[in-house]
Amino acid sequence: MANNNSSILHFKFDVSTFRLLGRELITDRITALFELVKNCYDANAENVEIIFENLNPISEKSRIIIKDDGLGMTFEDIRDKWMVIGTSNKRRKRITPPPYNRIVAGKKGVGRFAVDKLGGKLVMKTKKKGSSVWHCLETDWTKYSEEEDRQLSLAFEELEDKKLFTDIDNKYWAESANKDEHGTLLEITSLSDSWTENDIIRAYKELSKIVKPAFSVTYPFNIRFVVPEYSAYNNRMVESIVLAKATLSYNLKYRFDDSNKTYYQEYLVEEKGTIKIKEKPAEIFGPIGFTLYYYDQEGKKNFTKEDRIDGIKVYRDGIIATPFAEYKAKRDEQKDLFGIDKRRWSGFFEKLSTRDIIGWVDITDELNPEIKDSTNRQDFVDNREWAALKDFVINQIHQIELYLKHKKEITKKKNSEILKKADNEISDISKKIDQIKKNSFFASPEVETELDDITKRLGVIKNTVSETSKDFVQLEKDKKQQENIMFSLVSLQAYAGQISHILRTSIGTIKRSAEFIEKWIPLKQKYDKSEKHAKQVFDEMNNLSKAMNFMLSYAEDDSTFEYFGIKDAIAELFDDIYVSLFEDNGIKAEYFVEDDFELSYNKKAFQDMFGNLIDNSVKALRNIKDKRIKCTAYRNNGSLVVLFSDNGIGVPEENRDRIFDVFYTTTADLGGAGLGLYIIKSRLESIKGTITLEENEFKPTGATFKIIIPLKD
Amino acid sequence: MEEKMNVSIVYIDDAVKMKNDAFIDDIEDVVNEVKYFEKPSEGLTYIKQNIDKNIIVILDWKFNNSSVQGENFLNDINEISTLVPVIVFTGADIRAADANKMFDGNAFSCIPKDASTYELVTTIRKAYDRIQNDIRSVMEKWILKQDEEKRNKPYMRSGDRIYTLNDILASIRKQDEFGKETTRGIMSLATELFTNNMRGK
Repeated sequence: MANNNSSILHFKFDVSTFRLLGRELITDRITALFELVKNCYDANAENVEIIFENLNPISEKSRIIIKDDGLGMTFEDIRDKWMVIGTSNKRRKRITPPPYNRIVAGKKGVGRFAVDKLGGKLVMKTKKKGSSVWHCLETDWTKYSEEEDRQLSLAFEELEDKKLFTDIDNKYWAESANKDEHGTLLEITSLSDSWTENDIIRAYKELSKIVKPAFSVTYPFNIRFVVPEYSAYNNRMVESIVLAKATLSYNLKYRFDDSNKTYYQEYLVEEKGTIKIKEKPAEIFGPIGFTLYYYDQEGKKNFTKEDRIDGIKVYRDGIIATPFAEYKAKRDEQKDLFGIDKRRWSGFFEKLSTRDIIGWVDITDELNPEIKDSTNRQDFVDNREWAALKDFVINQIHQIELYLKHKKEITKKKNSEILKKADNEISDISKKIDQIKKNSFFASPEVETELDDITKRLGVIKNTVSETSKDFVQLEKDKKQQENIMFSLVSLQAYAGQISHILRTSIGTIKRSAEFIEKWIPLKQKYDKSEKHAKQVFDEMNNLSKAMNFMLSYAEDDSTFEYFGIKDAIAELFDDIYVSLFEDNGIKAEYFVEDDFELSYNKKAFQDMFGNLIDNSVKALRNIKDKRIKCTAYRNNGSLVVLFSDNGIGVPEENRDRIFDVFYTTTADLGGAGLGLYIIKSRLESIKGTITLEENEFKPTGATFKIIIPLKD
Repeated sequence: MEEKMNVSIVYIDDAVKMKNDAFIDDIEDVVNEVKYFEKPSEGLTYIKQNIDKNIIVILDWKFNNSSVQGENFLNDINEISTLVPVIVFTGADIRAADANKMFDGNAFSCIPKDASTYELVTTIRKAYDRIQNDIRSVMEKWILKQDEEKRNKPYMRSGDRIYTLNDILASIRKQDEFGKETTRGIMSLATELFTNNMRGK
């Protein structure tokens, strides 16, 4: 009974806590290794040796040793700090002892439990300089899990001697040592998984990022791998990523203006083919250092493996801020922290990707306090400051993109001019030689033969130059065309929104009609309306098919692009596909193709457009006596022009602007969904064509559509 | 038979085919009327002219070839009266930005175009309940309960003007300055009485 007798209760830790702190907090073995190496850095170590022994297959002899020459610990440190969960000296002191003055990398005081992810048993040996013994501590995580298993196997009430996390014994002993030695050694055994060579490669690669590539430290931080099983990594120093021979490099700094107590940030601005570094007051995320290296194809050759170029990292006080050690075998799954590869707005070809740049953002705990690691250590806390920092980084990359684009244009223009000039020069020389020949009645026959030879050779060179020049122009055109095709794909993203709008609306209409029928038919009520809605279901289904075919036309690959004769394609429509429809409705349909030529496009898509127009005309003609449809095609200014007319009821003046809108229809009663003209318009837009409603050809009533499709020469 | 609601539905959607939608035929028995408008301006005019009726608006969100969109019409409706619940009915993908606009515009709810009639009717009923439970509706009901004769007699004076109960009713419905002030006044009076009661116990 709760009454006034007060009492005090304490939290206790279940034995399973070891899992929560270790294997469940640290998601990956490499991250675990990373955390432990970070501790070495924080202990002012200069050299870390990571020894992997008997990794594959796993046996009792398998072990990982992480050995550093850092500060080491005293017995009291072990008892009062290492053994007390959550203690982190590093939270109090943000800087390691002098002369290193490193800003500490770990903060949470749980990095030591990362060991559990690597293996079940840890022996730690540590000592400070001057001490005559190594303090040795054995933590056997398997004891914890055995106790946990035992507890789980019993009912809660049966547990009389329930051991808590804090009740498990850990063995301590001392070993004699040389006074000058110092540092910490972690020996991990009972490994949980075997390590293949690939795993070692991963670990190596990720650790090569731990200290910033060009980080100039008076007190170095070296990591050495000792892996007897895999000779390529045995006795190998972890090297920083290669930075030599970048095509472009920028280093943006910041400064503090004492007069107005403001931080100023450097940033990049592209202006007509040059990049300038300018300055502005620091943004909300605080002042940062930003180093960016760009590699073109030539520059990338300096890398033994292209995947060493992998985008932009964030370093806090000189050490990588988030453990990107979360290695993904597939590059596409790797974390794109700044969303560099996700940018998809226009200009597909001019975007740089994480495969083109290496860079790092330097932040500090002091100046950028709002850029925080998220608790899972896989990202930053998504706040306004982080969003602004992302924008800043993307914008710097964008300036380089603009620069490259302009430079390319300038080079292009220059090259084309040089070729043209060369062509002219050769013509000039040819003319001069001709003149010499004409005037050189005094020349010897030998000289004349020589001159003839020179003229011939010049002819060959001239042809080559002209051909090259033509090739160059053609190449540019081809590229442009390729870009046009991409353009239509990119705009597909915009259409996707429209299409889902169409589908959702149609599905809703069908659903509610069906719902209506289902509800009222059994009640034997609203029979007429049920019939109406049954028809609506049918019509709407047809609209869905139409919308689906429209989408599928995008899904078809380039191989459906074919050369076909305009005349044949139109003839097929009028003389074959629609002939019975015309006959059934008493329509006189005629076509005139004034200039027969071939078009490279999707023939079916081309015919579908006219199919939609014909469908509309048939509806518009239903109450007209003398029904006519006429189609005329001709070539004009590098475009195909098609006029399509009927003498139907026409389009009322007030609706002329709306007929190409999605869902706009005047024939809803005939199942019109307002999709046909919208589809034609969208399709034409994707190939840079147009459709417009013109003054009607037939009088007094009717409609004439004009379609323009640009042709390539 | 579902309980009939004393309400007019104003449905504004530029997709013409929606005027044949089954939900309109389905709900005709449970509401007073369903008015379809292809052009928002005509719908707004109708709301203005019929403000003395209970109205629920069903509003499309994306309008083709128009710079004026659902959000603008939502605000226009709010200007006419904040008493009219607006249900946004849209086929578009609603992003956070749109949701914010709906929230700012005091929209009652947002329903996707592929919803069933049942979902639509359920939402309409909720909107109707809100109208019913609004303090203004309670006042309206009370006034309408009085007999016609009493409603046409001078009831109170405010400033230079003398108001009959019918005048007050019109003001409350239109939410003009006097209507708003009266609503606020009665609201605080009710609160006062209610809390006095509590203290009394």
